[in-house]
Amino acid sequence: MKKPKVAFYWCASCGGCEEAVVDLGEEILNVVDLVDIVFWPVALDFKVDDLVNLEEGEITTAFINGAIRTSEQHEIVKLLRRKSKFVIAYGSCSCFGGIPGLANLFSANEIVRRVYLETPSTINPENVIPGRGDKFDGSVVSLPKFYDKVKPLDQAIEVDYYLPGCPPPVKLTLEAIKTLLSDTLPERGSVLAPDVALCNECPRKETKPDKIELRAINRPHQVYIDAEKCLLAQGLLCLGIGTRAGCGAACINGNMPCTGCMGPPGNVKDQGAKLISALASIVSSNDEEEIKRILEQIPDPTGTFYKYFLPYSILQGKIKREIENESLENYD
Amino acid sequence: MNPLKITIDPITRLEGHGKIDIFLDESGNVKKTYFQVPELRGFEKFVEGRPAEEMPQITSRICGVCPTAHHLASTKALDDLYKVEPTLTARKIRELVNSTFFVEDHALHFFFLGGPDFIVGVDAPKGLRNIIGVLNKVGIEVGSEVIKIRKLLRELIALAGGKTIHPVFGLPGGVSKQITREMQEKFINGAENAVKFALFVLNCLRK
Amino acid sequence: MYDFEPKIVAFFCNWCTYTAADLAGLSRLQYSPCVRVIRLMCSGRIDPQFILEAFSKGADGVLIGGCHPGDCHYQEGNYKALRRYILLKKILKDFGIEEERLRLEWISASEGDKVQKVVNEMVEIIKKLGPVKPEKIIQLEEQTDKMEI
Repeated sequence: MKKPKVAFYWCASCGGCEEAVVDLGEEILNVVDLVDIVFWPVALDFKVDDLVNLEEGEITTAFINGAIRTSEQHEIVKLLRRKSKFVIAYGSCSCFGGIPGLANLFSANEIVRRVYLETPSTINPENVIPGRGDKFDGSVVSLPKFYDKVKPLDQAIEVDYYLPGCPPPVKLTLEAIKTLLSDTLPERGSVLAPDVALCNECPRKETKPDKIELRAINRPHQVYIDAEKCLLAQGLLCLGIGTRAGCGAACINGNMPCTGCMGPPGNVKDQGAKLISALASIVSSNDEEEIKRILEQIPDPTGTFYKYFLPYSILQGKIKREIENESLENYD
Repeated sequence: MNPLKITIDPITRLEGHGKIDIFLDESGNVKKTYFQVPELRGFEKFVEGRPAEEMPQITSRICGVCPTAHHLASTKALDDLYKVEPTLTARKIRELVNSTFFVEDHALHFFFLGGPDFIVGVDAPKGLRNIIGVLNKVGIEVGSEVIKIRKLLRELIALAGGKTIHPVFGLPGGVSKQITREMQEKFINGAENAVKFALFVLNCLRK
Repeated sequence: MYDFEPKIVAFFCNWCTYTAADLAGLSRLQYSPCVRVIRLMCSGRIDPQFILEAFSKGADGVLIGGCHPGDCHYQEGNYKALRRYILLKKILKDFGIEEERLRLEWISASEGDKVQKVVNEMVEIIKKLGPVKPEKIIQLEEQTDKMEI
């Protein structure tokens, strides 16, 4: 009986999702017994050509992490889609865009200029910018296109299941693997994580008041953080109220507020907007000036509420207006 | 397919994306090599406008294999930004987590990433140049020790830092979480086991 | 000045602003047809997602009309709307949408003339700003390569 084939691939990723798989620990030996891993650049030497040589649908499940930022990543995920029965968007970057999604607040030009020309520790006297390619010996050696915007996986290919998290918690990954190898598959398109807000799972939930009254918003280094009490009640921006559970409240156990990496619970289309809404409901003031003063204590609402979710949000990032006309051609 | 061109796509067993094109002359010598990095995320730009204290958690996403290193480097930058000296306790906690990370990260590299090239050999078949090939060579006993010690140490990082991958505990001038007597004992146990493991591996390699 | 007819979505609370808009109609106070009015029971019902959705679907401006502070039919709803509005304006700026495109006004049931004034003012301001024209979702294949020299 041939073992089902599994593949892992990373797009604009940090490799944390790969580590999350390795963190299955002893379990990984059991997994390796059950499946045949045919592609996993972080750990195995299989090449893209090996993927090309597989039959359509030969891979049972492909776990793809990382957001789509370059044409190469786009090509490979399309290839994996063709060769796989199921594709799982693994990790917040492929589910929603993740932290690299914050790049959608800037134009591609601004990013390239900053990275290669403007950073203080870069020595680049000839202002070299990675070009599209070189011709040598009749071959073209080229870099992929750097897209205008970061895209989550399902804006590039059809995705069967989503497993969010930065990275996905080990427990959820194990459950996902067991479920996918079983006979009862969940509904296509579902998120393989509990559909409740993090507060449900938080060890401090007993200390959360029924009616939270936010009179001041504190940044984590401005206050002594009580290790037992609800963080939101302490005036810290804990986004657990608008974030999916499943991580066991890991950050709270590190005595820091939740930053929203699991994405929103099921009924929410735009996590940032919902978090604004929820926060506005608990700010305890009816005086316009005082409200402004309290909300001013959030230095960066966009980055804070959309930290992992920007490309998946309703507006997806900074809107390009026709007035913009930046070009690198004039740079000398 | 051009017989005078070798393409390695992608490069493997490291964190990151890379592609190598090697052009050979008729005698099989290398004429020209291109090392291409086909990825860019732009951290240098998109951190602009984010609150300073979020840098340890944002920059850790530069790499998920060494997030602790980025986290602690950012935290030290915050100390400098706010011109605060971390308390002695905070320094020790940070160093404790860093040392724990050191060991498990080196074990990862030695067995999973770079190790296969040395232990299994670069001429081995593609399917064996990996952790499985290494375990076949050094034996399942060593293999299970590697997995056990990494799990133990990585759980310690999460104990003090919140999460193993992308810890959260760095703050300007300190850390967010106290170390209790219980945690201290777990760390001591972890350290003892780490040393034992290192000696064990050294021994195995001597044979 | 852009030569276009702006599309403005107006979320009006049933008890105050919507009634005022009716009154404006009854009193034959002309206000710009560029506004599409959506009636809600309370300005506090306005989910920020509605506002973002409006902009993403082509609205050039969004107007929120609610009861004056203290007059909310449901006590606190309009204060919640105010707090959401304050945060949203900041975020919209980061998304490239100018502050003037989102506006909150307290308009009581008898202020039909205020509806007329506010709507017409807003249309003029948006005409000067131009259309938002959210970039059409560019198919990945069409994306230009910014690294070309």
